[in-house]
Amino acid sequence: MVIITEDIPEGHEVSGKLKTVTEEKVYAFSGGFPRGPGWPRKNIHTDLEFAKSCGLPTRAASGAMFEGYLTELMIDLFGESWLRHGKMSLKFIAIVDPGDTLMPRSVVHSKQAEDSGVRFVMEVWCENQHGNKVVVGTATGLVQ
Amino acid sequence: MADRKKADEVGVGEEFEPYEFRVTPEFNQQYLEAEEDHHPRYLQETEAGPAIVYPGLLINHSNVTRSPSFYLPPAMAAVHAKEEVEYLNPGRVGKTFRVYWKVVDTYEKRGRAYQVKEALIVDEDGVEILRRRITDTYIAGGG
Repeated sequence: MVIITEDIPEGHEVSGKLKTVTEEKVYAFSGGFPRGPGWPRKNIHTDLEFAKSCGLPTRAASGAMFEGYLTELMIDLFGESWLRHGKMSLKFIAIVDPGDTLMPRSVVHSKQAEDSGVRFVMEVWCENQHGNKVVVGTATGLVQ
Repeated sequence: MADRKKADEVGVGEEFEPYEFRVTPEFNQQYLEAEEDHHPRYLQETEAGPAIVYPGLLINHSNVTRSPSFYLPPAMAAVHAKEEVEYLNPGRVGKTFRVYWKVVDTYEKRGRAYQVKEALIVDEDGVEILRRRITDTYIAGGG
């Protein structure tokens, strides 16, 4: 993967690491800490009956899980300093089930010179194994 | 329970009770497993300080469902619809974090009610870690 530098053009597209959302990972993310008796804690992410009782058709992996995939991609692109100036705005538009695979993607939408460097606006999204987007939005990062 | 205010009834200007949590290496490790991200920055101390807390852990633990005052009756749940997050500083493993939430907007769209909250995570030294603007909707089963 190419780290974002000042000369990366608008339209440049990058993909992150393919992630498989397994039941074990959903439990680890949303089942509570520490693991112990009664783990994983029952909620719409970990328990089908609980999810159905709330009107959902299935367990839905937490949106924070795949928000994390996009965060990982932004840190890969802009470096650890993204955790000091990075911004992201997201809409969660589809349910993610255990067994789905998600690919985080991004494309350079625009860039603008500032006193402290070049600020990039990135379109970001994750798409599943069917090519459907499950989360969409924008992120900004600074190249100093 | 009758006197507890349902989360979806908390109105503009009202706050949810703050929540504190400490991130141990084991706690962080559970999220690294969940996210398949084992970068050394999350595992090893550097000159900059202790290992960094995995950002997804901070996001998950600043969802309003973590607040001690968050309450919904059975067969109701909060569902995340939108999110704006601004990272201010990396969280460090070993620190205790405190999360604050304030409801800043409520609206209805296509027959569904939405609640917008601003959240702030601060560490035990007063360092601001991240700010979020979280839009949740509430769902209920049983018709």
